[in-house]
Amino acid sequence: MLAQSFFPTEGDPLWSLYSTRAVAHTIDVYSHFSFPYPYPTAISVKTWAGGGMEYPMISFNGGRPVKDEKTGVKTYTRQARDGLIGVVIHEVGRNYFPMIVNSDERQWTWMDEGINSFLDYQAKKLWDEDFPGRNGPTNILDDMTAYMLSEDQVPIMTNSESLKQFGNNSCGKPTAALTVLRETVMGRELFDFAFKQYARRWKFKRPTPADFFRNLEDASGVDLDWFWRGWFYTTDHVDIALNDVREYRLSTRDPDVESVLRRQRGEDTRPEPVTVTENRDSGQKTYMERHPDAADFYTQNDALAPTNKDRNDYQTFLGGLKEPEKSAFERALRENPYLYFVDFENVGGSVSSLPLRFTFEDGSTKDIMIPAEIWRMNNEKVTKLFVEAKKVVSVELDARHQIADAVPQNNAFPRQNVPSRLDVYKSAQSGSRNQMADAIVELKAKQDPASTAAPIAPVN
Amino acid sequence: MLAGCSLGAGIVLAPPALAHRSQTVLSTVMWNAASSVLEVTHRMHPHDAELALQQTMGVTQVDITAVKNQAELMLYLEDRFVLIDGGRRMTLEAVGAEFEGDTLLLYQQCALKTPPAKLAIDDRILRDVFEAQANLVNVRLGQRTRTFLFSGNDGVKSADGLL
Repeated sequence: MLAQSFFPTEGDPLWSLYSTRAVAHTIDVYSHFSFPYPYPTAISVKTWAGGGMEYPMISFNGGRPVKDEKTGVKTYTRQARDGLIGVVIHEVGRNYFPMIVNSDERQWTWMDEGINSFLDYQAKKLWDEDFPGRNGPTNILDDMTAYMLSEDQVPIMTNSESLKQFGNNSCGKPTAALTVLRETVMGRELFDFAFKQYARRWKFKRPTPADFFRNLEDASGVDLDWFWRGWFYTTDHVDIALNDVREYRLSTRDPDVESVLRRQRGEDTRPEPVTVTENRDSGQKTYMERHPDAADFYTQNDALAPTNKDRNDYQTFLGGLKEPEKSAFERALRENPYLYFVDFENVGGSVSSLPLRFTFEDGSTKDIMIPAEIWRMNNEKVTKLFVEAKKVVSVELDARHQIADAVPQNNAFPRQNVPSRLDVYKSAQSGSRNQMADAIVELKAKQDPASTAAPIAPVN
Repeated sequence: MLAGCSLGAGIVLAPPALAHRSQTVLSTVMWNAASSVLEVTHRMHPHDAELALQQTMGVTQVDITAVKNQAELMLYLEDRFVLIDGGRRMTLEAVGAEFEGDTLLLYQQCALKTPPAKLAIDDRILRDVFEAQANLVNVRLGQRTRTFLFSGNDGVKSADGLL
C-alpha cells in the first residue's frame, strides 16, 4: 500500500518530516494488532490548526509550524510535532475501527473511539517511549485515575448521547481498561491473540459489545466477566488498600531454642522501664538486692528457662510426627522462613489483580502478581500468606502503576508519603526565583500603576 | 512506503469538525492535608491558551512557552476561575506553569488552616472564547471526589458536603 500526505508549503518543515512516516507507522502497528490493511492507500491531508477527521483511506489532520512575524522563520513546538503525529495515528487508525470492524459509534462509542484510542496509545508508545498521553502523563493509567475517582461518571457502556464526559468515557477509560487487560490481567500473548481474533472475525461485519467480550474470553480461555462488570458496567474504580503486613516465624517447639527467642522478643518489644534504669543508674538497690534472705523458689529460678517436662513434651511431639509431616517439619526448621500475612481491602469497588513488590532487608526486591481470582470468596477484604526466605522491610502494591489504582497513598506498608503534583512542581522549582510571580507583578503594575496589590508569594 | 506531496495552494474546507479534541479545561481542586494547602491545577491545550490571550487579552504574537505569556494567562485565569468559601472570594496564589506532553498545566494554591467548609466554584475559563467550551472541575477535599461541569450559561456551583 502507498502512504501519502498532501499539504501546502506552509506545513513545512513539520509535515514533510512526519506526516507520511506517521501514516506508515500506523498501518504497521495496527496491522500487527489486527489484520493487514486491505486498501491500496492511506492519505493524510493538512487542513486546520488542530484535531482531525477521518474517512476511508483519507484523513484530514491539523498541526502546523509558526512563522515569526519579524524574521519570517518557521519553527514548530514539541507540542505541535506530537500533536500532528498523534492525530495522524488516530485518524488513520479509524480505518480499522470503526470503518472495517464496523461497530455502532452512536450506540457504543467505546467500541470505536475506545478501541482505536487503545491502539493509537500502542502506536504512540512504539513511535517514541516518551510520547505524551491524552492529558499529559505518558502512562494512560496515571492519566485516568482522577476521572475514575469522581462520583460523577457514567459506565463505559452508557449510550453515547448520554455520556457526561465524552473523551474520558469513550476514549480514556476504555484505553486504560484494555491496557490493564493486556499488560496485567491476561498478559500480552493471550490478549494479543484474542484481540486479533476479534478484529479478524468481525472485519467488514457489525459487532456489538457482547461480541467483543465473548471473543476475548473464548479466544483466550480466560474468564473475564468480573473485569467487564467492574470496568464497563459500573463506575467503580480500582483502589486497593494494603492495610497491614504481619510477620511470623515458625516455632521450633524446642524449649531450649524457644526460651531464648521468647526472652529476646520480650526485650525487643518491651524495653526496661525507665524508672528501673534510672534507679539502677543512680545507685539505688532494690529491697530484694538488699535482703537476699527474702529469696524463694521463684526468685532463684528463671521463669523463661525450660524445664525437664518441657523437654520431655518436645521429644514426645517429635516422636509422634509421621510422614509427610515429619519431613515437612524438618524442612521448615532447616529453611526457617519468614511468614507474612498481608491484608488487602477493596476500597474502590473494582476487584483487581495485585502486583506486589517486596523489598528485603538486604535491599533486594521481588515482584509478585496475585491474580484477581483472589477476591472470589470475598470481594471486600482478603489476606494472603507469603513465605519468604529473607526478612521483608516493605511491601508495595502497584509499584509499576499497571492496575490504575486511583489512590496511591494506601498502597505501601509501611505507608509512604506520596507527594501531590503541586508538591513535585514546587520541589523542582525550589531555590529558583518564581519568574511567573515576578512577571505577574510587572503586568499588574502596567495595568494599574497605582495598584497596591501584594506581590505573589514566591515558590517555597 | 513513504511518500510526500506538497501542494502549492491552500485547501478551502468547511469549518473543521475537531472530532477528537473537545473544548475542555480540566481543573482539580484538592486539599493537601500534609501541607495545609488548597491546591488548584488547570490542564488546558496550549493552542486554546494562545487563542484566549489573543482574543481576550489583546496579545498579538503569543508563545505560550514564554513566562511572560504564561503570566498573562494566569491573570486571565484569576478573573475567570473563582473559588468562594462561605460567600467570600478566596485569594489564589500563582505558583507556576509547566508542560506535560501537549498539555499546559497551571498551578495555583491557597494556604489555609482547614479545608474550605462551604466551597463554591465559578469556572468561566475559555467560555468567552469558545461557545462550546465545557469545563470540568474535580474537587477532592476529603475522601470523596466530585466533578462539576461548567458550560452554557452555568454560574456558580456549590461543592458543599465534600468534607
